[in-house]
Amino acid sequence: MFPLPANIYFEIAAFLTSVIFWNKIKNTRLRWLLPFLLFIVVVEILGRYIRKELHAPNVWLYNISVPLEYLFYSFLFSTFYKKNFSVALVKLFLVVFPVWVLVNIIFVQGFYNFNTHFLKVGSFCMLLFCLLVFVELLMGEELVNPFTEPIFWIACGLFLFNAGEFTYNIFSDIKMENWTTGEKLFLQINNNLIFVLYTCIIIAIISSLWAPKEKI
Amino acid sequence: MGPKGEDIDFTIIYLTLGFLLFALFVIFFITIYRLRLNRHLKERVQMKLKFDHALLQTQIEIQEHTFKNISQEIHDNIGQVLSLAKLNLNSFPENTEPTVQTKIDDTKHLVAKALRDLRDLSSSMHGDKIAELGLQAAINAELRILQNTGQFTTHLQITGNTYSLDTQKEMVLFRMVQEALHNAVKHSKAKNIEVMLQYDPATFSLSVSDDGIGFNAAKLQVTDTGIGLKNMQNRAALIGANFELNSSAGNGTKISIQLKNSTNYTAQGI
Repeated sequence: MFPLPANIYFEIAAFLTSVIFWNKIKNTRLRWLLPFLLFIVVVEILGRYIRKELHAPNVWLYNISVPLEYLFYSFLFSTFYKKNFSVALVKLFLVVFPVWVLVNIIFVQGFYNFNTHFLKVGSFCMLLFCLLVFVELLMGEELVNPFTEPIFWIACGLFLFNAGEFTYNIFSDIKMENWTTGEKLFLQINNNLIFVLYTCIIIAIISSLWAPKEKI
Repeated sequence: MGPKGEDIDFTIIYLTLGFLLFALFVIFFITIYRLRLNRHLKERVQMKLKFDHALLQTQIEIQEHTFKNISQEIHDNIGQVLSLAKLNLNSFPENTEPTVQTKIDDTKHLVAKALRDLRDLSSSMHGDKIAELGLQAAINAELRILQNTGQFTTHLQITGNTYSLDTQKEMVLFRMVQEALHNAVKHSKAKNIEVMLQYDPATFSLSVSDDGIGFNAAKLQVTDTGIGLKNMQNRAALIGANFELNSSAGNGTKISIQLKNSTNYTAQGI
């Protein structure tokens, strides 16, 4: 199980940052990051323990955690959106997506097979929701410094992560049969994207120091 | 590994890199656009502030001009007429009828009082005279007028080593004091009115307080007092001063103004 891969350390660092800055974020929408990041760390360590120590498949764990991640980020963005269209869209996702995931798990791909369908839809929706965050940040008629906007950093991390994952997710069904020499390179890109995502989350939490409270 | 497998590998890798580059471009574009928009918004806000400032200054200049005209009219016209009336009354021969003589004497006193009041009013309205007198003397004159009515006890307290502020700032401050005194007289039912001037080297502070009925400042609507207070806030903004109002029902009213001493005078009693 040990040493843990570097991406888990980034996730732990993000969680610790949320603990350190708890006083600053506890009355803001960022407070949800603390339990979420704890959940991510627990899932990653548990997944690794199941695979490395118990030598058992851990796919079922990610079939639960990955949709929850999508739902969490969507929920976080829903608290930021001001435009009715964006709010309606994200609320629709929050209602329809879990139902669809359940249907997919129960009737289509099964609990113990990695569910690629929700990855495709999920990462596409994350890209869309991040773009909506960017649009709202762009359209605002008040002064907004993107570098001190926590939601901007979260959206940047998530946008880059899902942009990098999107092709992989789209081709996931094909590649699992024909995945050859590109795997190593792709995994390298993927790992770097995890670093990018959690670094952006860490910056988002730290930037709450400078952001006005009503904007965090 | 067949050619098909390699094709898919490269397709995935190139598309991934393509998407990542696109994402980076989007983020870069948004950041640059937002920063430019911020600069544009800042410029717009500054232009609006400048415009508001110029508008306010013009309003105050017009007001000062009007005050000056009225002051001159009082002095040159009504004042002259009353002086003539007083002269005529003084030229009356002594009347043997005591009641008539008493009435003439009372009228002389009334005309003399009207003349004095008009002179006070004229000088308190005339901006140039205020500039000549200086802030403390001008405020003192205003308080003396109130004191002379017999309805108020007034007090001017000065602390610190005094220095002169910019003439225009003194004029604006004086008008604010006048507005506060006017409000106190009209609405407060106060007995005591106090003006405090505090000359710290870095900050000049002024406060006008009364022991009247006070009011709920939060509920103040666009009444006469509300407009007066708004005027005071506007005037404070014009000279870059902080304006604060403290009042509650039954506890009197206090307005405080703090202004940074931008002159190079130090505490030398200038």
